[in-house]
Amino acid sequence: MEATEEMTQEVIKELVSALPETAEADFQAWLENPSEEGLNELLTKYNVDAKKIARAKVIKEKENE
Amino acid sequence: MNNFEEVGNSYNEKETMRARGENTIAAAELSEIQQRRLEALESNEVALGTMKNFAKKTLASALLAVALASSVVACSKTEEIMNTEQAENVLRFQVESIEIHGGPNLRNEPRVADRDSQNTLADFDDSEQRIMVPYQGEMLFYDNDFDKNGAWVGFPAEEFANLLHDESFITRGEADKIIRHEEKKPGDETVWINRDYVDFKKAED
Repeated sequence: MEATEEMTQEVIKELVSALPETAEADFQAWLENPSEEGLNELLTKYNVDAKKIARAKVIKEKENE
Repeated sequence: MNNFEEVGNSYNEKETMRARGENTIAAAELSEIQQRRLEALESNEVALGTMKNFAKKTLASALLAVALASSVVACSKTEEIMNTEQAENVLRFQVESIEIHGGPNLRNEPRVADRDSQNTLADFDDSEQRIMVPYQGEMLFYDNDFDKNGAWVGFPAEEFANLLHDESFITRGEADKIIRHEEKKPGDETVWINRDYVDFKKAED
C-alpha cells in the first residue's frame, strides 16, 4: 500500500480539525511563518497525535482493501 | 468547491461512514472555525506545502508501523508453554510500556530453533521503524534455554490485540484473528514476540 494524495488530504484535514478552537491564535501564527518544526510544536502543545491519526488512515484503507 | 469541502460534505455521507465504523471526521462535524482554518490553509501555498510534506512523512512512517505490527500479529500463534516442563524458565513482571523495532525472523513458535523454517514470517532488517505500544500490565519473559532458541516476551492475547487495534496498529480483523485463536485453544492465550525486537520499561516496584 502507498500513501495516496487523497489519504494525504484526509490526514491534513484531520490534523487541522483536531486542533481545539483555543489554538486559533497559535494556528494563525504558524500560518504566517509555516515550518515543519513549528507544526510539530503546535500539534504537541495541543496533544494532537499525528502518528495515530496517520495510522488510523492507513488502517482504514487496509480494511477497505 | 475546494478539496476539503468535497470530503464528507453531507449529513447522509457522515451517517454512512459511521455505519461502516469509520472514524473519519466528516465535514458536517467541523465547526465554523475549523472550516475557516482549512480554507486559510488552502489559500496559503507555503503553509499547505509544509503541511503536505509533514502529512506525507507521517503517513510513510504509519505505513511501516502498521506493516511491522502486522508481522507481530502473524507471529501470534501461541503454545502452551506455561504447561510444559519448561515453565520454570518463565518469569512474570509488570511493564509500563514496550517498544517493538525492526528485525528479521519474527516467528510464530518460540520453541522452533530452525531459522529457515516456515515459521519465519517477516524481515525488517533494513527498517529503523520503531513502534511504541502503551501496554501496561503483566509481561512474561521466556528464556528458551531448553531449545537454545533465545528469549521471548509474552502478553495476554486478547488485551494486547485490542490495544494494538485501539492504537491503530492493526485492523479489527487482525485483532479478531488473535482472539479467535485464543477461543479455539483455551489456555493458549499469549502473544509471543522475540525478545531481540522488543524493548520494555519495567514498572517501578
